[in-house]
Amino acid sequence: MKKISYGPIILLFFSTFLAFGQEKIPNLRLKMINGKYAKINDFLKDGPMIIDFWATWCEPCKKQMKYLNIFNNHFKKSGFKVLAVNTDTPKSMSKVKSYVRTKKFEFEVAVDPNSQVKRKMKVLQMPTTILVDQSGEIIFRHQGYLPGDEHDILKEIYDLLDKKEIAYEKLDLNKDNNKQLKTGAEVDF
Amino acid sequence: MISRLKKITIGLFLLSPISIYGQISAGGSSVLKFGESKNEFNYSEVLLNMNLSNEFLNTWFQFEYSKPPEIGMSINGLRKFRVDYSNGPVELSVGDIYKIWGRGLILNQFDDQNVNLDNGYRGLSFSLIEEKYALNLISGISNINRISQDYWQNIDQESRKPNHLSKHSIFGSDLELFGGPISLGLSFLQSRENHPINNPVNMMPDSIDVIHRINGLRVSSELGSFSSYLEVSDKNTLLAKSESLEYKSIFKPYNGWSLFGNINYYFTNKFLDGWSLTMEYKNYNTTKLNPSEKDNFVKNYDMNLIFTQPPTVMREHSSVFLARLIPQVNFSDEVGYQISLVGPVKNIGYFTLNYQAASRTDIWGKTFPDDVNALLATEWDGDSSITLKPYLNKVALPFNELYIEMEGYVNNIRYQLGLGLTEKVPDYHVLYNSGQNNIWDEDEDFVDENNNGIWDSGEFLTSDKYSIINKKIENKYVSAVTLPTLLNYNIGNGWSIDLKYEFQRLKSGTEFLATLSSDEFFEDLDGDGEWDMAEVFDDVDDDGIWDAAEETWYDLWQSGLIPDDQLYYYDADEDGFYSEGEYFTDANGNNQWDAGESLTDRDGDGVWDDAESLNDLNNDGLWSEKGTYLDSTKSNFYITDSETGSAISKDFQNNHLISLGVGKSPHWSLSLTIESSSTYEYGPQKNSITNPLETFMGNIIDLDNKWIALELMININSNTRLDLMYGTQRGGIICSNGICRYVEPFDDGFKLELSTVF
Repeated sequence: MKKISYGPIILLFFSTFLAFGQEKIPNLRLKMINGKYAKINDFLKDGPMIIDFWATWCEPCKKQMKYLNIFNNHFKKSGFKVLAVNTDTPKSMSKVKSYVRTKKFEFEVAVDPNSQVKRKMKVLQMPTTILVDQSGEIIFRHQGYLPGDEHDILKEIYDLLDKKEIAYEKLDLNKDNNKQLKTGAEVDF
Repeated sequence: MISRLKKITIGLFLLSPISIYGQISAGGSSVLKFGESKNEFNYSEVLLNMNLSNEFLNTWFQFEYSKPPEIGMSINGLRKFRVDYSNGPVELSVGDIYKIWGRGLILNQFDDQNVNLDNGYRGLSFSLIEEKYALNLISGISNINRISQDYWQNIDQESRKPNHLSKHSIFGSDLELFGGPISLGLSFLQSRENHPINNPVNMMPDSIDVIHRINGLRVSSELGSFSSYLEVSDKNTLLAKSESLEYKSIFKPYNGWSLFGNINYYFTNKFLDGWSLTMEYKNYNTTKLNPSEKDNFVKNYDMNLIFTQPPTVMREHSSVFLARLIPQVNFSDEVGYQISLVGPVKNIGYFTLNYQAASRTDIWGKTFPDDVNALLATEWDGDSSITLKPYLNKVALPFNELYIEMEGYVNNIRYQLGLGLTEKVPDYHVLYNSGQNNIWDEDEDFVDENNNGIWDSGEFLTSDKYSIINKKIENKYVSAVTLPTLLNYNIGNGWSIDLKYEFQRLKSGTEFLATLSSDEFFEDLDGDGEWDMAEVFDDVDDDGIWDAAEETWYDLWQSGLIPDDQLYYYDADEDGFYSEGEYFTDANGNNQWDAGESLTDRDGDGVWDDAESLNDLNNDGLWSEKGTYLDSTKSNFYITDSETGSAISKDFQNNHLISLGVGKSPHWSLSLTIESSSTYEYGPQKNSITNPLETFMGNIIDLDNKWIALELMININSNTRLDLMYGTQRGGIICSNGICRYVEPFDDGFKLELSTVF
């Protein structure tokens, strides 16, 4: 009997669904840093959101997080927020709380110690930054971090807020950045 | 084929409800990895993830096409699948599932391809999550592949293909209760395992059926500036009733407990505002493992379940050199702690102090039978007491590390300066040799042939017991000082420069405490039966080598270089001997005949001899005979003498790593990494291949004992990234999730990784 490869059939099956339009994030259940559970849609009630995947061992992640904190604080009046999903394994979990608290980050932090949320959100690199609108539609996805990437992320936030006609104040990233540099911004655990 | 068809049909069936609902979202991701090197470290892998979801359902399919993968078994086709249903407080999953309860003292499942550990299960998971509680029930089958040199079947010399497959049938439950600042968890897990093992009688591959049961309790609290976490578990392993008595009598499982705790304290007073103190503690006692069997999970089937992956309580370093020193954590048998103090230092940056220590939980001693030679002894005795802190005794394989770091900004330059002091004992061996003395000793039996009540010489000894003749205790040691530094300069307009430099002064080798069981070996060049040290000479011209006398015509005639019929030409005064004014070889051109440097010619061969080469076990520079007591060390490192090519032992190895990178956000980054080492390591040496990059770099630097690689990252678009590496990478240990594996060097090749999200 001739062997048939079923791989292409499945690919074809999936491809039919691609016609359904923009990709939405699944309404996954998350474990928050305080041990409680929450669903992604709970964070979308007030407006758009950035979901950022990071780890304490990831240097580029930590470089980027200070900007995410600036975005979170600046745009929160517009309903925008940042949700940082930590992917440290249980070995580093004790340090996640200390890290967030010492850095005085004000955004929400969830934990994903066996990378199941990461997998469902198709995260391949650390850090990965996903901008979603209030309906959960993925607007922008960015993998990795090079110094300067924060300007691209900020531009995408502006574009989204403009498109949704959400009022906001412009952010002078250099001014906020300098303010933070003076107080020291990076710490490794 | 039928099985595959079934999987596809089930998959399509499970997907069909999704299409009924609207709001469908589809997407996926793919990762392509390819590597090829001149030393045959080749791999080719494609991973394709496909997701389909709507409000209630989420499906995931993962396909792999690999031949061979970087590590693990080659797979071509469907690798993983799962369907998750979520509606209100209810969650249901079918397929390949990964769960974690608490901090993993009972259950921590993941798929880590760096060390080829996939400890997930295929089955069912049901969860009910309400505000005050969360309940999770699981059931399924887990087939776990691992690499082991202790399982004597299909051993892969490259340690890339697994050869040990354990099959688990698991079920369990976990309940979490939330009450204000305190939460409580209760767990139970059972696994019925079919465990491959070497049959202790015929030494053939075999398998046994084992039952593991683990109960656990955890509690966490958040009280203002103070938070804490404590988790305990109790493991019970037993052989299935169906197992033969043979196994039951030979190996009885050990049953024990594990404990993990941590506290965080955040300082809020005026002087230490922003500082935090984190303390972690582990005491894993599920199995006691002697130094010879510390990682032998094949024989020790009572070791922790592979689903049990508790915290390592070890700092995970981003420094390449420090990461190589972190030991493999034994989740069955380890006690240790870690303390971290972190906080801002005004206008300078952030300060980190981290100290960690660990060891095995027992002080072992080897036992020596008196009825066989002690060389064959395999039994150890532990004191079985409970220790609360790590031991320093070398038999407990101690490890400790102090790490200090300062990090911050100076204008647009981000700096990171670290200092790590590491000490560890990775291995411990005991080897005794014993013999019979053919003489009656007090507690021995003999045949009293002449019935005189005492043993007489020649009478047959029915029990001539073995007694220790010589002892050898050796342990490996590693100590290192490491200085990792990092500078990042943000130029502006998306441009940035990264400079990373690491230095490590490493000491590594073997310590011996022993009596020599045999004479030190030497190469008896002159056949006199004795080791000869270097012959002594008077180095008149101070050139470090012995100089023979300048040869006269007489010497040349004696050695046949001047024929008899030409002697009249050389022997001017015809006295038959050399006289002043007659011909000689004027080596130094001073027109005078020079006598040879005086020499103690022990073997009488007329020339100076270097010392006869010696296996100098006690490192004293002299030949030692059997029975000599040794208390010495032998380094792992050496350099080669440029003139003779012989190895010269070195106590320290100095390692340097420099990485210079430039990046343009968000498009690309390029970095050149050069690693160098001041010494070689004893053991088989592989010939290094010089690639064109090294040839080019060879115009600038000396290439000996260096590894050079060029890495390029291109963000093709926001969803697609390409990573390319060309050059040479040093082999070594990589650790992930407390599990380590040795990675072969990557010699003159390239690696490519393309990752796409769609």
